[in-house]
Amino acid sequence: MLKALFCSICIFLLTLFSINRIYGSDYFEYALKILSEGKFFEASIEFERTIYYENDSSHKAQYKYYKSLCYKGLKRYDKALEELNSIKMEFLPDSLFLPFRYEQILCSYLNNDLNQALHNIDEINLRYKDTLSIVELIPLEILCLNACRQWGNALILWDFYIDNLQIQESLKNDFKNEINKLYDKKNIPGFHSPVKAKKLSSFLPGSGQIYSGAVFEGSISFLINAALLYYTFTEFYNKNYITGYFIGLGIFEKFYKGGRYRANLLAQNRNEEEIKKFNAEISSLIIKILNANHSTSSFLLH
Amino acid sequence: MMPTKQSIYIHFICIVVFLSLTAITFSQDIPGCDLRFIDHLVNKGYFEEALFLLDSQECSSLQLNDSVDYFRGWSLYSLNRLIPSSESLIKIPPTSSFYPKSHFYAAYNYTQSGNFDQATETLDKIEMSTSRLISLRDFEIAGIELLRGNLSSFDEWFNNTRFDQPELNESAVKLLKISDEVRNHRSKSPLVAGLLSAIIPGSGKLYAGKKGEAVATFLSTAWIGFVTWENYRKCGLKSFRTITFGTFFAGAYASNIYGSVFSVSVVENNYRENVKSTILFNMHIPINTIFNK
Repeated sequence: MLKALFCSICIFLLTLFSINRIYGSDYFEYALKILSEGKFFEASIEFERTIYYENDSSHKAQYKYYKSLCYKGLKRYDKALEELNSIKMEFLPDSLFLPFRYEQILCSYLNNDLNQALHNIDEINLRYKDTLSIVELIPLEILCLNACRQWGNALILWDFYIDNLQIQESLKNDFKNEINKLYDKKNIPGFHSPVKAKKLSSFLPGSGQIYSGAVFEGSISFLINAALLYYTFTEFYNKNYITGYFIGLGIFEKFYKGGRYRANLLAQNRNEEEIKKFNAEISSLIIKILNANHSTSSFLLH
Repeated sequence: MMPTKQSIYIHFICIVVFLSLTAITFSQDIPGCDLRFIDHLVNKGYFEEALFLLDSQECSSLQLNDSVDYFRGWSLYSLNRLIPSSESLIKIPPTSSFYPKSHFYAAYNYTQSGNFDQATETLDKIEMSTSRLISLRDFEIAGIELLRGNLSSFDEWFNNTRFDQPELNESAVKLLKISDEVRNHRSKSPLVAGLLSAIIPGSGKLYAGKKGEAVATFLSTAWIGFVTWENYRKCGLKSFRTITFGTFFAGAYASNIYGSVFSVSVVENNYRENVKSTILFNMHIPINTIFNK
């Protein structure tokens, strides 16, 4: 009787502890699988499920990192940052800290928050005195510096990065030549000051637009303003003061002010576009270098 | 024949194994439709994600599941998809713990989307268990009548409502104030605005309550009038310049009249929208206080 009772209790307890025990890791493999299939939205839900059922904080941090990758895939960089910012990174081991911080910096860069990206890079530089261990972070830092127009600092980093690559010397020289060509004064995007563009258009209507690169638009603006001024003077000359004042000057004032505003906007847009174009060239060079340097282990290939 | 001691033990163990397996079967969440996790998603504000799971085959196949309908309705409500939200919330049976909240929110969604008849019908059908809910229903119907502009019916429902619930008091005072405002409101006439603008350009807009626009209209019509007058004086009536500027003046004058008529309609519409949103806001407060706090 005792034996039977003992067996029954064992079976009952085993059952009790085997039911409803769901762990985050149960869903992790499936979440990874759908992430690799490019189903980012579905994967983000599955990673949220892994976070929900997980008790271990370091595992939770890992799942949040993967969830941020899903949001990055969906181009929702703000949500990706939100997820990464919720991770307490200071308590993470180096093996996790670096890729997580890298992802945070990348998302900040993609979200156009350059100051935050550079701040996080500085933080990593402070934590790792040995720069070689974080050499893979340099391409991203270069992109951020380019976006901030710090060409000199970017070139110093390029030299350091190329020197520390594990590739043939001839290949290093080729890359250095390519970089020097890209950072040649003629190739570097010039800065078109929006304030200067506005001032130019105040002095000579249309000139601010021409300075910002819109030659046709600037010429048309100049012609319209000139025609309106000519009309105003003609009306005043013919003693049609009311017509000259209200029609000529009234319409001229609208075109004049609009032209100044437009010149300012065009300069801003051109600056942004040129930086984007330049960084696109730099990104393709980075990919080329990474492919040549495939022997090294990289945390930035996620 | 008496059963042996051994066979009794075997039977006993078999029963325990059977009960344990049954417990496992019933304790697991419904496969594929993880309502606990969906609840978590809804609480964290991941409504699109919750809807994605609720619309999956696993959850859709669950017929007559009040939790699924509730989570779907609540997510849709949070995403401002009011009619589909009501359609889900209204399915919840009286046996469910979500029943009163769901049906009140369904009625509120119908009200917000302008389906007043359906809203009243939904409120009428709610099976009330407490006087608190009865008061809330009467208050909501009074609000709907006010939105309809049916003031006598509003008075009737409002006077029937028992305001012994603290959640209703503040909103009730505000609703009563709005009803007084609606009663005393004198609509502005587009015809009067048009006539005023025909006499003095811009005065119709002043009548509509838009001072800045009135001054701008007056000045712009006046300066083009002056230009026409100058050209008429110097070049005569048949000159090209006079005809051109005269046409512009006629256009500006006609636009000023049309603009004034239009302004009055806009002002009236804005007033109605403002009243509507204030009533809806005050109808929502007690529902939110009673069911979500």
